[in-house]
Amino acid sequence: MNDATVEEAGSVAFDPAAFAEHVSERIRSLTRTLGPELEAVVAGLVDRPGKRLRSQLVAHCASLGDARLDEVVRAGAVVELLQVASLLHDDVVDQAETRRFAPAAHVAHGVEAALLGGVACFALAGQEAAELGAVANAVTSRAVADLSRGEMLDVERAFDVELSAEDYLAVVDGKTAPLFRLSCELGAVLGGCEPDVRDAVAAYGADLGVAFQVLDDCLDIEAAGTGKPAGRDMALGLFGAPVLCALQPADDRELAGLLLSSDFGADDMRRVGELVERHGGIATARALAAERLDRALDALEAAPSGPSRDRLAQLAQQLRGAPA
Amino acid sequence: MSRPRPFTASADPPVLDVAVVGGGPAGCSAAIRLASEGLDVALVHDGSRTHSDYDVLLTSVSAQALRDTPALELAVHQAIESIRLRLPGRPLRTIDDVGAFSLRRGVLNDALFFAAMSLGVRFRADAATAIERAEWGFEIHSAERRVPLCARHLILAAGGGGLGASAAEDGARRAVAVAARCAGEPSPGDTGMEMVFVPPDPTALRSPALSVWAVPGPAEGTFTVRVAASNHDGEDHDALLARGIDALRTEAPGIGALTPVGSLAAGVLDTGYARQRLEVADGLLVGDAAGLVNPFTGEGLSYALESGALAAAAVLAHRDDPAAAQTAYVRKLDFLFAGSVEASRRALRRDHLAWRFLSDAAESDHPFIAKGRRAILLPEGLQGITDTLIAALDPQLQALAGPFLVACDEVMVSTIRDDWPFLARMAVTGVGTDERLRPALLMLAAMLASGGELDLRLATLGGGLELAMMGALAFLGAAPDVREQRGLDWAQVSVVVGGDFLLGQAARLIARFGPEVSWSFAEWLADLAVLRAQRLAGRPDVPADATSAALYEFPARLGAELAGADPETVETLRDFGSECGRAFLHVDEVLALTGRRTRLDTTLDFMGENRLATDGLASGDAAQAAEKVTAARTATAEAERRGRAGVVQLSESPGRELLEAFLAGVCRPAEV
Repeated sequence: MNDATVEEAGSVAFDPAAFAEHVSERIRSLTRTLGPELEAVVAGLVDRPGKRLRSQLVAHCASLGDARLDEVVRAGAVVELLQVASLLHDDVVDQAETRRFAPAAHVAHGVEAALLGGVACFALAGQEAAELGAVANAVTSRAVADLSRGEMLDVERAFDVELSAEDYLAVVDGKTAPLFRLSCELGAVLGGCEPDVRDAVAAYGADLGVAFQVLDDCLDIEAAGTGKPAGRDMALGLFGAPVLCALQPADDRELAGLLLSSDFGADDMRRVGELVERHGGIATARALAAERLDRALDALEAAPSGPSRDRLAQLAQQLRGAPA
Repeated sequence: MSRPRPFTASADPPVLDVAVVGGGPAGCSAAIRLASEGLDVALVHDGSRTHSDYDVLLTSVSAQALRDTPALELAVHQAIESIRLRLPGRPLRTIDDVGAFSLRRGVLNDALFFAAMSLGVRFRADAATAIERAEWGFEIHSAERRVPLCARHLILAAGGGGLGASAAEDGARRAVAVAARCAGEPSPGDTGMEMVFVPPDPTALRSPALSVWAVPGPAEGTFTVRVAASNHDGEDHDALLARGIDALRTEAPGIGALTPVGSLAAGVLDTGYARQRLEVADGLLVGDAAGLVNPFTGEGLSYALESGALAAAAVLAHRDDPAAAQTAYVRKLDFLFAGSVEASRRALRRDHLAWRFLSDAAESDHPFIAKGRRAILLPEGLQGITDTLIAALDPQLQALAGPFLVACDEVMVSTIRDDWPFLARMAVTGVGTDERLRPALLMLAAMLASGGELDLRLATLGGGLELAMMGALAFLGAAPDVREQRGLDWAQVSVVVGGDFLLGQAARLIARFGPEVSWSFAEWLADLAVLRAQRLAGRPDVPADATSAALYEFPARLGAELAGADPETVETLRDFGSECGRAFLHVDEVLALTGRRTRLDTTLDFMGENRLATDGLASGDAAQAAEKVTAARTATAEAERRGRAGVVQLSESPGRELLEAFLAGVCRPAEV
């Protein structure tokens, strides 16, 4: 597949399943170099991938221009490896026992091994990015630096019930948006797109990422089965968009008191859900997400029209319509 | 001691070089340095003496600053070698190698004041009431005299709330401190002090926190109890002292029932340092007037002495230009202190988390945590930029390496301090006050030894390299798992998030300023993770020193690669770096086995449990311990011999000399 080009509609590259399989193969060939100890640590997340949304973004953005399939696959591996690295570390930070319906890596292999697995994936992504050329290397390293800073901002605000929704969105801009943004930017770079197209998809990616996180927060409080134990972030004091949106206008002492109570339990979680609903927290948060999705779609206008742009637009629309 | 010079009356008021308002430690320390350089300095102090019946703690930094102060002679003091850190419900944590001492407050103030007078500083016993800017500098109006004092430069050292110290902004954290000398029952020969922390409620940002010290004083059987309360609710001073004594009685019963024997001193602590306050001030704000107080310990004396010295240095560098002096001072101060003491909502959150960190990580000897703890509690090491390794070099090499390392520090601190100030402090803090084994120095040496030339971007890469090494340190060894309270486990979180942050920033710096070595950087990091995981899994073919070898081979290899060296030279230097790493580990084993402070700031047990040290190091009896010391010394000597054998293959150059000095510096503590 070395000299293959990602073509427009109908080509194998746009078969998401086939592309995802190429990316998985590439990731496996990289993680094999880590030896049995670390390969076992990362295997769970590599073999049971999520929706691979980020590598899909790479592919769609790459096909706005003219890219080599092997490079796009490697860029896909970069963003997915970074995602694996951040999940391995996040699960330690969040004390999550399970991930994608299986024991989290730190539970199965020990905390230090899980953390080393994360460092190794981060390093593999760095090697892969460096091999993709100077620009790819530069944008990747910037995203990595932003991401690590966002991770810090996110934990630093624990138990801050006075955090405004705007300030929370700034936190999300740091912790979730960089990887979405990078996925789009890497695609556009490898596709040889003009700078204005690169900027446009980067802006699209950033807004899409923020919306994704806010909607994920909504799902979390609605306790829909996401494989993630409901209320985990709440117990850790990492309040999501609906909670912060409910706190702001309502000045509800009961809600703030519950959120800060030292023995927060399942009953409190239910009550928080009721209060957030009553103050319209979920509706406000969904409206914020919708605003970001509108902005993402606006940004796309600067990209060349065609099936690739349509697919990017479609992704944003799908997110909007995600089941409540 | 010469008499203070009187002012001469004249129609045209004489313009002095510098006026210092406030005669406490910060003001005096500035005045002394200025006068000793021949400047004409006046000290304006209203003559009142604050209650000075208690003993103050002088940290290693203050101690160094005082040793460097001209004309100063200090009377009796008590050495403080360790701090026993106690948090309710957490295990005792002893911090060794503190290098501090205690001294009567009045003795210190008088000694500084008389040193200033002996150097010819003019003294005006008067209360400064107002400041006006004039063409030539400043006019200082006072209560007793009609003619203002005119000076080109002005240093404001009148304490928190004093003249020129603008009120802390909204959101600044006000705290209260009380101190009194108490009679107790010290154990004979004990050179430790007690520090009890009562952290704030984990889920409430503004809940009150308490830090209590009991510092043994020079007078037999006495401790000074000092209580600092943040988010203070207006409790009466005597009650606050009583609460502190109670906390000590519960947490540190060993020092006996404490009864106050001295008068109670109390004051507001302004921990609201902000660059902007200093920029708009008329003159240079130093010490408490600048809000320079450690928000955890309430300690401000070391900051006072340090900022006084920095203000003097800025004035001396810009004698004719007060505005330039102010700019230089604010810049330097902000570089050193921003974030450690700072007023903002983010700072409030960060402090809260630092409290949680101290509490959650109380039982950990993880190197990253131990170093972080010291960085929060002890403002040490800022003056350690000239360390023993550099000092031992010949002047030419010193002139090459010294400024380079200072530039690396600038890069590191400016990259991370806005986001995580304690990490920045950790980055520029050595072991003790005088030794830092700088990976950047190894990189520089390798680069010069392979024929490269020093250029500007090298300091940036050196800074990036050191951030990466510090980040890697976070992932070696396990942080403890404590989940007793609701919320994040800050021992764990600080290691993961701190490590990621450092690696992320390092990757960005390297990609930006040395894209050609980005790949090598990533490959190194992957190798390091793999080796450590193999060691952790107990692979017999991976000895303990393999990880430390991998850690140190990179700076050497990086230097060679940046110089564009041939593969053979790169390999030679890589091997040399590996030997430095092996020696580093075995020296730490010697230090741990002989009960000395290790460079990793960890313990024998931690090294053993986490397979950081050679197998079997932490077990066995005393007789075996002696054998182990010998074995670790032998391993050090072998690594040193192999390292030297490699380096002689290179042609003679300043770089080669630096490499040899670096290796010798790594190995030195094993000999003692």
